[in-house]
Amino acid sequence: MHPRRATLLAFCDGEAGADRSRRIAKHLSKCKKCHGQLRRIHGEKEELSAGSAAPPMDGRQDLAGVLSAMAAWREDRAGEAASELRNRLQWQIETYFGFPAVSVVERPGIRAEELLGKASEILDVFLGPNAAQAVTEDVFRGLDWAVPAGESCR
Amino acid sequence: MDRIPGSPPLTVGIEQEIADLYEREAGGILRYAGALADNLEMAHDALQEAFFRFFLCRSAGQRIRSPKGWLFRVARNYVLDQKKRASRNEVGMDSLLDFPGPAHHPEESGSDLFEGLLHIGLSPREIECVRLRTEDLRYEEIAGVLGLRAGTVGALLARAHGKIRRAVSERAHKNGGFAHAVAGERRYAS
Repeated sequence: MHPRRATLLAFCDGEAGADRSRRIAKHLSKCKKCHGQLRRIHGEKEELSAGSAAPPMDGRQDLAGVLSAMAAWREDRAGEAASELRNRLQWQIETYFGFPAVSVVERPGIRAEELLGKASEILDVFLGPNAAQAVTEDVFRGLDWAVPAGESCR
Repeated sequence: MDRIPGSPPLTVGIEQEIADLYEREAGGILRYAGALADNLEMAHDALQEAFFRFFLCRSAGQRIRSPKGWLFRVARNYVLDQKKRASRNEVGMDSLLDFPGPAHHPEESGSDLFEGLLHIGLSPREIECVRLRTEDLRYEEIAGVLGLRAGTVGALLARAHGKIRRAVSERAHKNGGFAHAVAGERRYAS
């Protein structure tokens, strides 16, 4: 039986899986029609990729911005964002697991990223990875990481 | 996203990891976010946001299975969030993605082709799959970005391919090839 076009497309993308790919390759070695179909798909994909190719966009300034925000974070110069992140994480832990859970994961002077690690671990275990990811994104939403005191982030 | 049990927060080497990742993926993320946002400034913000959150999560000891897919997903969600805030209207996600091509900066993002896809009847989801696939994301990664299953991504790509092929054969006498026909379709429509 000939593989469907969708299957050939997945094969062409290297997404058909090992077993199925072996079966398809075996079939292709004997079937001229499917072999021709695969070549056509391959050509179309190449043409589409070439047609969609855009000139490279320069993001070097963005990297400088990210690195300076990272340095500021490491050196505790992102005080407001770090404290807001801690508050939001505490609030999420309290919402899902109750106040006692906050006192379990938190200790005085805990760094925001450490609390993030602990909170993510708990959320991951009890809510599952997808929900944990959604909660984390909610925590990050709208936080301003920009470096204060005249240091430009962008 | 996984955390390595009992491991201390990772600090050494994260900068290098981010610089390497940036070198490989920033261009693609910027193109994708630019197309989605129709606003280059927002795209640059999305890029920075994605990489900074990556830094935070790695500093927190999280192991990110597919950094590329993760970064595309964060950038996408950031853009959608910003657009939602800007519009302040209660609209569905699909309408936010109605025109996933930067109409005002086609020369900067090669959007002609993707706008063409819209005009030959591809759904916003199908276009996003094609766009992410042309940025070399695997089906699993595309699924992670769009919140779908990998099988669904395969089906959407196959459907998109079928629609493009039909449009091409209908216009075969007028246009030279696959991509040409798609871009041409946009011109006919506009």
